[in-house]
Amino acid sequence: MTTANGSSQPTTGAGPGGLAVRVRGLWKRFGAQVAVAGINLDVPAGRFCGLVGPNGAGKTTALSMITGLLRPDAGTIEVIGRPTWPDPAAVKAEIGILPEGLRLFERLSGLELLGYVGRLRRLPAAEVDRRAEQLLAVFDLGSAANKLVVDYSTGMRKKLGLAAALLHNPRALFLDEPFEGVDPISASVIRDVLTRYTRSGSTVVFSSHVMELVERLCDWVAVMHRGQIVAQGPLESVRAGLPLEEAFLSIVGAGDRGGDGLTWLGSSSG
Amino acid sequence: MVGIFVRLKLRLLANGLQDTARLVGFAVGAGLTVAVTPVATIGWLRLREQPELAADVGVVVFTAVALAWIILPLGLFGTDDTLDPARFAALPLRPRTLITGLYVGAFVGLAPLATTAVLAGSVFGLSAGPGSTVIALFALALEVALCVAVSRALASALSGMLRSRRGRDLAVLVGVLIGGSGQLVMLGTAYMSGSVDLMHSAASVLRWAPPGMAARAAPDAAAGHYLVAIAGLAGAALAVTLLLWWWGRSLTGAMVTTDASTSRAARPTGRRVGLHRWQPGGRAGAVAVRELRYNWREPRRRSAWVAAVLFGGIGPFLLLRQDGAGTGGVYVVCLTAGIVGLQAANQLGIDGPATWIHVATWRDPRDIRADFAGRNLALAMIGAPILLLIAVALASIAGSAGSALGPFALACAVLGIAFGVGNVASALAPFPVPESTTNVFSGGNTGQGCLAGVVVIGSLACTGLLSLPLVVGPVLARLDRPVLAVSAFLGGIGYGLVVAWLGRYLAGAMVYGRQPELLGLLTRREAG
Repeated sequence: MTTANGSSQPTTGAGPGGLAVRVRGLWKRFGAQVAVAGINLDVPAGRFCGLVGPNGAGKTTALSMITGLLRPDAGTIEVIGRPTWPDPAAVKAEIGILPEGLRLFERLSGLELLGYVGRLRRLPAAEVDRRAEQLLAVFDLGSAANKLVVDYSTGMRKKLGLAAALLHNPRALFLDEPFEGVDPISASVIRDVLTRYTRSGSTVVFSSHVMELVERLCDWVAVMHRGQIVAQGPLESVRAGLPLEEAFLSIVGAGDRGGDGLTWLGSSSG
Repeated sequence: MVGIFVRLKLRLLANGLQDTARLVGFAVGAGLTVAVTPVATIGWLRLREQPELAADVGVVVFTAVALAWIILPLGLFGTDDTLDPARFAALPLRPRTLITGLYVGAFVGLAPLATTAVLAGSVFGLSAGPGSTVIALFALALEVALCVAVSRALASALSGMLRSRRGRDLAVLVGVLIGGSGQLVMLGTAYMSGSVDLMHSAASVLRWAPPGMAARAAPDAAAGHYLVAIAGLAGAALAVTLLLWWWGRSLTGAMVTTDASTSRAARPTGRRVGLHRWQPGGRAGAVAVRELRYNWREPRRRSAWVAAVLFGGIGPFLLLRQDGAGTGGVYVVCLTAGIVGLQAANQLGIDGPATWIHVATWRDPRDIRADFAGRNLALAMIGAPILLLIAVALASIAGSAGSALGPFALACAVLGIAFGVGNVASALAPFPVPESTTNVFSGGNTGQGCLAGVVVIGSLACTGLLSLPLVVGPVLARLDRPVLAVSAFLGGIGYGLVVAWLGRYLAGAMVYGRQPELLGLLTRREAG
């Protein structure tokens, strides 16, 4: 397994073979707590990259900094060959984001929300409407197009959020837990769209704490644990023949925690 | 159980104060209390010399304070929803336990403390001798209990109404209630401060309302009528009990019902009519349309409009009748404009965590200014017609509908100034307004000290100060210099536009440099 960068070290750039994301020495502290502790991360363009790790590993914090929504304490970030900081405007114009928690404008309908996001991105109105209708159809939201977002289920929200992130045809997508709380049918729709998207040479970086999912979808993984990237590279080299979950546990050295202390738990206990 | 609620509330308040802005808000509120309390106490002590007058003043002040507890939270600041009942919905608590806990928890905070401090002097001012002093102590306790109960009960009940679809029609009634009682307090105080007779006649009516009953108890006891005094206290206590029962009913109802008003589908795009079809180009246009939709669809904004319109709308009519100043009185519509313009004071906070959608698309400060322009435009599109209506109505009452023109022009200028001030305030001190399922009047007060209150009062004060130069127009008109006056009015509108633009300009620069920090500020509350 490669714990550092991939074997071939491509130059940062937009073209195939270049790096979509290049992070060096990225730090973020919240008070006394270190959320991200000096990570280096490389994601080659055109990859389907999974950022995997348990809850609280720093995935959301790292993604927020990479996408320009959270100011880092130290470090450099380049996305599609452009520095995210100090001014993230240029990067934000090129990428699509699906942040954690997925707070949308709840009192717009799905169609209105896409129209709104498209206009904020200064796409021509006719083009926005055309793309919005197609995206809603692809994501199977056509019948809910005129329903208010506040009434959407979690799966519908994720799909709508993804549609909003894809609307301006970004060169890279950053998705925070896109499959969390999503039913299998919606998940497979999301998967199909994302796979099609990367096949055209665009990059997807998504975070998840579900190892099986990452294993099934990704061709590139970065494993985070306690604010650090403990392994990254092509999927096969990171997992080294093991299932990803076992590989992860052996990397972070987690033992068996069966819960010896919980003797009171369960109906047979007194 | 009650102890747990109180400790939770204290902990939430203390945690809220770790934030500097909230600490400042709290400090300002506490400072005001410390400053006002001695003055009030001296006033109460002086009244001890004149028992007759003291009884009347007691009744009027107790009633006014109770009304203030109804109006100020609903109309301007939002009620303190630190202990949001919805968060307890999953716990196995009986309604009775929940209400008791929430109610006792509601006493922990600056506002109940300030109320107690300011009224504390009444224990001596209204009594004479030990017996009536004890009665006065009970009366004070009941008054504070009444204030907290009525504020909570009303907020819950009205929230239930405003959330439902039918609530849109009822909203007007609700507003009349809020605005009307607000005006009563303002007017009443203005009237009575001038005349002891008026105060006496008002007190002779108000003494039969619960706050009045509490206030009369000590003077009655001092006069030897202990039975009457105790009956008065019992009346006030009964009112508290009834309010709590009502609160419990509307609260348990709100916790197990969903917001039905939003489950309908929005109108399909093809059949849009009128305003719905209006879709101007550009970023500002998109934001304006979205804002217009939000002002209609979102219960919190709906309640804000209802409160603003009637809070600032009924007052001028009453003032005009009282004033008798003829067409000059129409200018009070400028006051309405200031209050309507207050809705611009937290334009980022009201979007809360959804703000990231804007942040993700900002390319330069111009985009941020366009957002503010859109929001201002939407507020103006709703606010200006309302101001025009009020101005024309006022002018008609005053005798000539034509005299509405000048006041309306100045009101628009004031609205522009309020937008400029509000844009800066929005950038400077945004506070998230969490959407409560049980209280649409929930202000930004969730463990936040008095930040919302400071922002509101500060914005009002700045708008007032910046509006002072507008006086030139009416003065010239009164001096019979029509040409100069007209140019002064036009200049006033120009001035309002410039202030609005300037506020937008400053806000754009301020927000652009602090995007991640602002986003963090607006998202943080959601995590809890």
